[in-house]
Amino acid sequence: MKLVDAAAHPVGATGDEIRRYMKEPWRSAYFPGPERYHYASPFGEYDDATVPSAGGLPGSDPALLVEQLGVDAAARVVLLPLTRGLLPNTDLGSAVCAATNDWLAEQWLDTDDRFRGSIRVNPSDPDAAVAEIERWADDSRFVQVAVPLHSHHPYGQRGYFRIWEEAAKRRLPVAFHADGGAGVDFHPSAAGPLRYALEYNALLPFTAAYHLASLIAEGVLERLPDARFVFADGGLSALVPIVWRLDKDWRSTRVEVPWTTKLPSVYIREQVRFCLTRADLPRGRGDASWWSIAQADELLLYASNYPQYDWLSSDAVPDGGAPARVFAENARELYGQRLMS
Amino acid sequence: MTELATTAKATSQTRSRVEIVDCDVHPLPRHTDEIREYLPEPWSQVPDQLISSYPLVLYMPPTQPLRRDAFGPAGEVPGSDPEFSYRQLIDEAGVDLAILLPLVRNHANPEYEAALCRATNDWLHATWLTTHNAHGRFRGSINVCGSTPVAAAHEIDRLGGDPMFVQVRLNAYAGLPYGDPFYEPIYEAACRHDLPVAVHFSKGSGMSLLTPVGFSSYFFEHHALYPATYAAHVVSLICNGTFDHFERLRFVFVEGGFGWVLPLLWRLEHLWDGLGAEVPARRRPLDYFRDHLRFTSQPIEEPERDDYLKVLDWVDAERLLLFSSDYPHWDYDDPKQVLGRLPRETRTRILRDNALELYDLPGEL
Amino acid sequence: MTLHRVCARDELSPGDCRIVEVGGRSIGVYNVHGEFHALLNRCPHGGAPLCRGIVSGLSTSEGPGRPVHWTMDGEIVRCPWHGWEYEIATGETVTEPVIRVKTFPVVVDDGDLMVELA
Repeated sequence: MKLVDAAAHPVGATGDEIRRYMKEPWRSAYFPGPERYHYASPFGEYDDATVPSAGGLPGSDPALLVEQLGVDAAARVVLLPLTRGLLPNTDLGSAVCAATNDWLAEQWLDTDDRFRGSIRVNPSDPDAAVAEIERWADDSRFVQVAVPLHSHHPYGQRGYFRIWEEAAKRRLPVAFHADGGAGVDFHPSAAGPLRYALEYNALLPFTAAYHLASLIAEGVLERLPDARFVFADGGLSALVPIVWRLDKDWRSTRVEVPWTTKLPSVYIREQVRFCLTRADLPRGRGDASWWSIAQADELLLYASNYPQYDWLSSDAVPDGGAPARVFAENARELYGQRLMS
Repeated sequence: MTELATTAKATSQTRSRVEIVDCDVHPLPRHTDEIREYLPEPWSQVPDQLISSYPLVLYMPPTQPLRRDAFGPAGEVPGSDPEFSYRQLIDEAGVDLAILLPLVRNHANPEYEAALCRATNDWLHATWLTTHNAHGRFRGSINVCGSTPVAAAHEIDRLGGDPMFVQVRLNAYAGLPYGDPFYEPIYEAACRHDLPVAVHFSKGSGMSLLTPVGFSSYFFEHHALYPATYAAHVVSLICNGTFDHFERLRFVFVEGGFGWVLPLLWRLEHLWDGLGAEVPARRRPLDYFRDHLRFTSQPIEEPERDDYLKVLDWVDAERLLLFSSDYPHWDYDDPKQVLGRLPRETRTRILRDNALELYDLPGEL
Repeated sequence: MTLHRVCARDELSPGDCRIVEVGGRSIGVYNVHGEFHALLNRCPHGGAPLCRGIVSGLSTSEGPGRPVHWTMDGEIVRCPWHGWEYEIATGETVTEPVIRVKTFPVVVDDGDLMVELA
């Protein structure tokens, strides 16, 4: 297997396709479309070239995706469909997740055996999330669970633990990715509201950082040694100095989190992975040594993030721009048998 | 103690070269009454806890927020006795010049917060900057409330002409990132007096502590993620073109580390290609960085491997990094310990030259 | 090996620390539940006077929501600056035992505590 794309984002042609898989009252309910509303790029969130010639949303044509990503017989693409943002109605959120999973299985996974899927679950609804994981876990085409990056509590906090426990039990990594649609999110920075898509995207890794710190601090990684987490929006480069700081501060504050037994960087090396995105590539001086400092050969997974406007084809990663393991080996190790069969 | 400390440094008749400038030191009043006397009505009777500069204790370093060996001989709270602080910081640690940042946290009423800032500035001036400054080794910061930009500008104009005040100080917790045009009156005033603007954390409660994903549980997470708040301010300042309007404005980010700046700027540069056309900024991120941003060194980065020197080189630490100790807080960095691995020339720039240039300080005392 | 007198054994109560300057070094001598230990009074992390830190214990737990156990009371010293936890008897940090502060043997000689320097 030469190439694994750890995150591509399929969508229905109109976005409403998931309604077919929903029951009333959700089937007729109002909910946002799949496109991002808040902090979307004003110049187009998606690559125009990914719009099918027959019409439809970018990323809605499986054949076009295969062609544009250059998926050969030996490759795998992990599909991570977005849901509709942090919806205020918990039950609606769970219904959207379940319908998305049904739609993905039938409209994408059934059509091409190089595709793999993500089980979308609603973190605001642990009971439904656990049930949804159980519903799909035996379908080995699903290689991970996926939740939105934005939440109302850091993901290490206790209310979410059962979800991660279930995923770990079924040997399914959990991926975080900023969602589509519109959500009842908090401000996307710790300094308050931002104005521009540029600011939002530049600071996205720091949102991930709060979850990363929380998963360590609350002992999720300690208590669930089989749990794996993937930050699918990337951000490893921005987080390297944060990990140094986590290690440094842990030595002073362990007494406050006495269930932790290892340095944060050790937990991360063992249980956390990051997708490689264009914005993570180093620039100018320091390229060659940067990936070594970032421990990229263990922590990074190549991902296209197709059909984002700046999606990264594996060809477009500059020579020496990432260690070889990033393109397949690390994903094989993370997703195991589910990826290969 | 009202006598001035007589030490080798203070009584020396010959001028000696300033070798170490400490850009983050935290003095406290001995009692809230010292601040209270400067508070106008209707606030002269506010409860002590609304005057105290102690951060609210929602997130505290376990066991100790202050160096345990920095209590005075009679048990005085660390940082509350100018003479004892002088002994520890100037005599023992070898600091020659200390930039003082008294802390004022967020308060619900911005007018009260502004009044408290003014009172703190008056207290600092009357004590550490004059009465206890015959040795001339202390400089101060003008505290202002970011939520009241016009009042803040008045305060900067009131004190900006006094050479003992070398910068403006804003709380890292602001409600709006610092590139927002809302703050322009403050930057106008800072530039009128050619004063850098320093940002430092001073914890209140409630929404100021909210992260994009809710409230953290532990000090461990909260403190490790300080850079996230500063990253938001840096990105905001750059994207909003603040430095296009205020060409002489310099920001100093205190106590938030600096290693994170480099990959963040890479990220901004990449994203600028696709998204930059929307923002008012006229130049590229890396262009602003060198002319307008500075960072203090404490808490010093401790990467697992010896890649530290490389990273310092990449972030142009020789020009942008200012030594700080954070005396007398728990995560104090000793000037003789932390920069030992650096080449001498780099060390000198970080310990001395960058601060002398930024704050226009004397090279000899 | 040289022996240096610290104080009379009775003068150092359990839980206390006496700091002495011997052989050009600052050393803290502890009474931990009746046994005596000595540490170099300098934290290898940032140079703090380690022995000015408080004597404390160790917290352990299996996870949030589970009981937090307090053990080794009186056997741990917290660095007075960055709070690193050291086991007094071994000089090892709790977080990474390979990182340690230098220890010195303490012997009791005719009612006096003596610290042994190489």
